[in-house]
Amino acid sequence: MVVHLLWIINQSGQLITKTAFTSPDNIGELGANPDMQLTLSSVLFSTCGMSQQLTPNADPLDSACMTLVECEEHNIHVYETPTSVKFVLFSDNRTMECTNLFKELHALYAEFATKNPFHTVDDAGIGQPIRIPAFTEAIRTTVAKYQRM
Amino acid sequence: MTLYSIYVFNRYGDTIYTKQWKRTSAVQHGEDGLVAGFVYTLQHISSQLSSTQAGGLRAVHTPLYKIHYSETMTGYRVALFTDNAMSTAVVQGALTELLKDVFIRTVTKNPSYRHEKGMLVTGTGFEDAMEALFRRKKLLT
Repeated sequence: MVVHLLWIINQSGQLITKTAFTSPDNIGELGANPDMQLTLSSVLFSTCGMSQQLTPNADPLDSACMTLVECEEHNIHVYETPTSVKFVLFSDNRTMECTNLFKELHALYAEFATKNPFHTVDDAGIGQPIRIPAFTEAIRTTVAKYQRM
Repeated sequence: MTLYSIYVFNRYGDTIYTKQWKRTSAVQHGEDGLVAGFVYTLQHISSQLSSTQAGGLRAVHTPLYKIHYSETMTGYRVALFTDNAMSTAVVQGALTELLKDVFIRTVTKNPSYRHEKGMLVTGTGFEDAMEALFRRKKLLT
């Protein structure tokens, strides 16, 4: 498993965490132009909603966010928490599953962000980035356990 | 192994062909436009991630279904909705053959078809050939 990039997108579709793990060269324009990640993350948020609408099943309760987008060079993994926070991982195209990593990252989010009394979840409806160095460090440590070049 | 639906779009974004198989939900009004926007968006994100700009979308997995995607250099796009058990590689092969052989044989070489805005695929030639291909590939039973 090679993980290039992690996004955490909040309930409103705002990018609250982005952490890169490999060289920017590995993710094309997203690496060359990091500001683009703000735009693309909200676009990805919208496409998650679309994938629910497109479910070709009868029961309207049986809809769920997309979990994996297979591209030629990368796979995009999406994990949605019950509170609608989305974790997005960009990996190499051979990695088909990373549930365990997502669960660990979710636990870190609960531990470092949710429990932090100084972390503002949103300010007048605008989601706030998570600027907690210990959280970033914990993310890097956790992902490093799974990285295999 | 279940096929739910297929959509074919031209480079203008028009839905030139669609067919439903074992769907259990009704087709929503405007759903073809939603599919077109969905696959176009993900294809664009994929090309922005690619270091060669050429990287394309192959498949989208959800817990309940899977979408397979393929496109030509001339801008014809296919989105196929299946269940999760369908192998990405097998369906990619089938869609490539659909665009390389079936589409060219039954649409491009059809003298009554014009590659213009809003031009739908009519007649049973494409559909029959497509279903024969899918049966041969064991996607359709």
